[in-house]
Amino acid sequence: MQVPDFILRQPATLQEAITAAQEASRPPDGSHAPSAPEQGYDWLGGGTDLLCNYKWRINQRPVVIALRGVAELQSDVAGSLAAGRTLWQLENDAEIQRRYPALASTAALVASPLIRRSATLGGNLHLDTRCWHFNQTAEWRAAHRSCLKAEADQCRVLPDPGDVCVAAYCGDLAPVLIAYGAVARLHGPDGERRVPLAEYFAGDGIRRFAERRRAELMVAVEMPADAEDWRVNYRKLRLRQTFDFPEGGVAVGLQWESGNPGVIAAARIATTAYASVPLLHPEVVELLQGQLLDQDLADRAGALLESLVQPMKNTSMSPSYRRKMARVLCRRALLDCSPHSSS
Amino acid sequence: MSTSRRILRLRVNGQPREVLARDADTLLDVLREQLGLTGSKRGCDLGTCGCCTVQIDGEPQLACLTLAAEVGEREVTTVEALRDGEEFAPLQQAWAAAGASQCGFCTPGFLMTTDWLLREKPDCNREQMREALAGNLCRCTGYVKILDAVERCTRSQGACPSEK
Amino acid sequence: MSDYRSTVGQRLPLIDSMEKVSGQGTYIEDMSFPDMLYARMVRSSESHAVVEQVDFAAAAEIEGYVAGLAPGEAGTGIHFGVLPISEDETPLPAPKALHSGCIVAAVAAESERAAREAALRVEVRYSVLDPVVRPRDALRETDHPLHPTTVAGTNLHKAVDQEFGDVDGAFAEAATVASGEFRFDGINHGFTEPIGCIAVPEANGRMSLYSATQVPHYLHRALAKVLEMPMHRIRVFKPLVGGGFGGKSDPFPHEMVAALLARKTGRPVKIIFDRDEVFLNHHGRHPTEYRIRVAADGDGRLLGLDSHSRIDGGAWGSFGVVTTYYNGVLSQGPYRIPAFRYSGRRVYTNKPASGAMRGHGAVNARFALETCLDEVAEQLRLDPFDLRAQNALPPNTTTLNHLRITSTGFLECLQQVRERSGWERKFRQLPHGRGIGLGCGFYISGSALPIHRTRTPQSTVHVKIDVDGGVTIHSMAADIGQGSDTMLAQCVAEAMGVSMDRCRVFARDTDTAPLDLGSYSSRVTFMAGNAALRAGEAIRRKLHKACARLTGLRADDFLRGANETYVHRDDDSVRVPYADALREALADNGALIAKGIYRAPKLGGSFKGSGAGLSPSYSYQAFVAEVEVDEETGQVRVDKVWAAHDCGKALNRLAVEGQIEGSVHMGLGQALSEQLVFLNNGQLQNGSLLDYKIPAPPDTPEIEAIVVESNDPEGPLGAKECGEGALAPIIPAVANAIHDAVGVRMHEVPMTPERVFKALEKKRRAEEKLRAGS
Repeated sequence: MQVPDFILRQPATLQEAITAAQEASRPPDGSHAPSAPEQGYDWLGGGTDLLCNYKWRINQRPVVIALRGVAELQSDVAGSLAAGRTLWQLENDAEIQRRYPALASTAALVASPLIRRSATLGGNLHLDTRCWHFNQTAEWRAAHRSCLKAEADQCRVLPDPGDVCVAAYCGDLAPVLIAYGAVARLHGPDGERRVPLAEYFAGDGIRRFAERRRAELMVAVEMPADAEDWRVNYRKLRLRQTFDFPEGGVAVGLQWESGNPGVIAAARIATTAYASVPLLHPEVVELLQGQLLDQDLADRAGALLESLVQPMKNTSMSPSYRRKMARVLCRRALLDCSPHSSS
Repeated sequence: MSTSRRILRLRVNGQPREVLARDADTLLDVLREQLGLTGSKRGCDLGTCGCCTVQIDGEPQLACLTLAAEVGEREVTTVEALRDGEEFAPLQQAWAAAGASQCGFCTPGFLMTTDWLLREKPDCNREQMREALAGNLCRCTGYVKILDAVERCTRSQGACPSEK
Repeated sequence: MSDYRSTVGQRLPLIDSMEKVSGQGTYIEDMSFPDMLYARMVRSSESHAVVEQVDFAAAAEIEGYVAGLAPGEAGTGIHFGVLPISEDETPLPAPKALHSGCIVAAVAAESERAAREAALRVEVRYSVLDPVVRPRDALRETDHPLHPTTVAGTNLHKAVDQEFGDVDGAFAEAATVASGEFRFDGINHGFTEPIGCIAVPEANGRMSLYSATQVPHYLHRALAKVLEMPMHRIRVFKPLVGGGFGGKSDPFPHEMVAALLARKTGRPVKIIFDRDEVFLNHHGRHPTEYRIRVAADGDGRLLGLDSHSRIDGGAWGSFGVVTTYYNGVLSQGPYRIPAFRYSGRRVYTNKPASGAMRGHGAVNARFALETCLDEVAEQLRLDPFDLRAQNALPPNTTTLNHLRITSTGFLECLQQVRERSGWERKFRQLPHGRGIGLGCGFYISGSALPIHRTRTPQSTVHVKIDVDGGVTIHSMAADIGQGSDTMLAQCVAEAMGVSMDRCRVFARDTDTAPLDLGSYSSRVTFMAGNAALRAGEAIRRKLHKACARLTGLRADDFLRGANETYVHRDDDSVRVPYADALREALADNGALIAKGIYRAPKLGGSFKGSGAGLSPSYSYQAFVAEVEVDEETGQVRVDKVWAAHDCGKALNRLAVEGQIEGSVHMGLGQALSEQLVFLNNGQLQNGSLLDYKIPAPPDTPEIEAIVVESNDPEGPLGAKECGEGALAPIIPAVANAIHDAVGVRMHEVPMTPERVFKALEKKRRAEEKLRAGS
């Protein structure tokens, strides 16, 4: 299977990368009309997601801008993690293991060790959404006349979707970083801006970012100064111990009342694989806040989360099972946070 | 669209190699189709079987999901280089002796991951081997004899590949 | 006395293992020929349709496009198939496409890329028919059966009905009856090497086909039929094959297409499938619905077995007639069953065809039976081991359906795993959530009846020795990674009393090899091994004659001796080195040549279908699995497997263990994670190694392979099969362990977390109801 043709750009600096993106997204006539699918570019991180899609002729772009050589994306600056760091580095970095243990352990749950050698933090956060009717070969999609997110105008998941795509966001790191309160640092032609990851994702399976600006890219993820005060845990539902994307994933972050470990002063809950973007669940946060974390509270939080998630029938496990498992994942992630738990 | 190509100066198995490749060619395409290094196998071409595993600067990588143009000046090592002339690496000998190859199609990929593992963790136990090899699939052995072969090469059992 | 040291039972590395670890081994994808074209298949977008027209005009505009092949062209409509009784495949639709993704046309181009681009641009016009997807729908009458040969206007392909003994009487007098309705998803072989072939039109007008195949001979026959050429004008060559497991044991349309395109273009044509195409080619284990009842008396003696299977054959016949029989007849062991009824129905549906896969025909039926036996034991408060042991078929007996039982190590298998697994202190005693279970098995060592009913031996092996002293072995047994070349070398070396290093095996080329039927039905060791032994013995007789000439003693008095010598029976100071004997034997004669053959003895009864399941010998298994069940998620973790397999005699312990371990791994995949998922129209949904979930290293437990040796009287050096029988027992062992752990009986395979979770929910609801009622 060859990757279909594209032009590869290999910028060495952030500015070169942004310039390359601006050039690639400028229509040939020089107008400022939004670029059509046959135009435009894709950023290339590790390539483990993008190249698989390209081999199946999914939404290829004529220009691919590789970020591997961009110096600014390779090294952390204080309190932030460079977007170009590989997942392998994240899981094996002693400092990350110490300061953000849930980030290191979650990185180790992504795909397989070989994938993690190439896959990057930025790439994992921007993982394309997935659907059984989308992640298929060109011939398969043609036979199936699917889907909205590819070349057809039909959805095989919803009978009447309008133009809404329900492909699932299956990144493992996003909910964990949200639970740590991380902030995305973006760089574009208009300079730099910072967006909390909790607000970064929005929309549907096709338009998945709250506000995406042309030629803008994520440079780093900033970890807030108080991140180490949070107990964060992530639980992932999958069939095999490796390879598989999450069929459901729940991250919880808790802060204890000062001098009162076990009593929740603040909480964050984020899920993955249950919708087209990572979801926050303020209802569960509300339930948890000010409460003593015990079995009963964890049960109730899990039950509430189960009632909130609405997975679609577009991955290998059934929506009903995935929903029921949200309860278990949530309860276990919470109990893992308890002061007596080893993690 | 027209095909964008470029001349790549790679270092493969210790030798400088010059190839004309498409921008979109993977390292596996170049190794197999241009350099005649067919030891690296194409089992799924999507990063799940691990049959194409090579080492780049000593670390295992999936050649099927690595763009050749992205390799740059890094050193690429394929299964063909494990052997030193007539001399097979201890790992290769252990592999054969332990019965770790049946059909052999996954073998090059497993060897390249294992070679790294034994350098990194010469005392690894079977659980750690399973974790480290979690990106390689074998359909013949049930992994039992593969782990046996790796075990033969751990520091306590015998020679490490890095000592070759 | 002879001081000969046998290799039998040693741990011998496969003779091609250095090729494999060096990366030098040549598989089909590694081969190429001058001026070679690449072909790409055009695949059906419809599940069931008449192909009206194929238009290559847009494809031809792609630079590098050379030729297209469309239905209607010469040869594309000729029927072939592995079984002469169901030759229902054609290279291209004639005129119907029978499943989504089946091959409807092909293009050949100068490069793989050009072929791909061109194939995407081929326009196919279909006249669409309603697809038949569910097996129960396939039993209805229809105006458009998939094949004209189906039964009575339905899509029924094969019906089998067998009854022996008084079945109804057995159930009437039974103290206990266990029964169940079971469902099995289809599964795929999942070999790591994608399928591929290269057709080379030779300048002398012959056609050579290089292919990753397990059955060069059947491929040879099918090519002759489709190309309408005599067999001697065709050559089939098998390079190293990256795993088969039954998935490369049919002649396939793409092999025919490659040859037809090669003939059309006059150039070599290469086809290598992408992984998703491998799944479309399929021919894996049939999706199965299985209904079963088992009757036993109060002491646990089995009285009767009544079963019915409905198997989903997909689009073509393949080995399906055999599968339909095997689903019943192979349940006649390893237990004595006095009354037996079986009915089997195989239907055609618009899905990729099912066929033979490791443990062919026995696996799903075995699951049903072994699960029910566990239930019988539970009902009678018997230990599952005791129940099985007291019903074991004794050696040298005959089953109701005339299977001839000779050697059996079944009781020893039971005893071994019982002890090693710590069964006595674990069964019904592990903490809730942990459990241990037993599953047993029984399998053929090759089918005694050949597919083509001729008097030609099923295996012939040639041995040639010339002045270099090397031993050249020719055979068409197909090494697909299981080590059949190594087995041939060992048998010949053993028979001759020389080192295996002298042997070189050429089992890859129909031009030079004598006939062998290939690698399927776990036949190779028994049949080709016997032939190899006989060929080696014939050579040794020649060498003994030379010894006699050199020493003036009687040829019959020489034996194999140490270090490649022939030694006199009564005086071990009389010793002729192999090299000297060979020199003498070659003098005035030239190269030594000998052959050995194997033909199965005549076996079985005379009733309809009596040939199915007949084998010169059978293997036996007893496996124990220990599991942990997460009751909240339904996830099952197998902690350890003990697998005892009676292989007659382990010629090569390393290889036997490898077969057992590999079978267990594949069985665990079917047990817990592997399943083919189809859309309502029959389109395969999960044709990738990400979505079709083969267990990876962290998913696979330690497997203790235990070799049991019953020394078969007819097997080569006592050996029987070890490549297939070891798959089936692990699946019910896991199910029975799940029951021991959490008290639910699983009737659907694979036993995914979701299914186990549902079973647990159902049990909880039932218990609540019971509590509420009491």
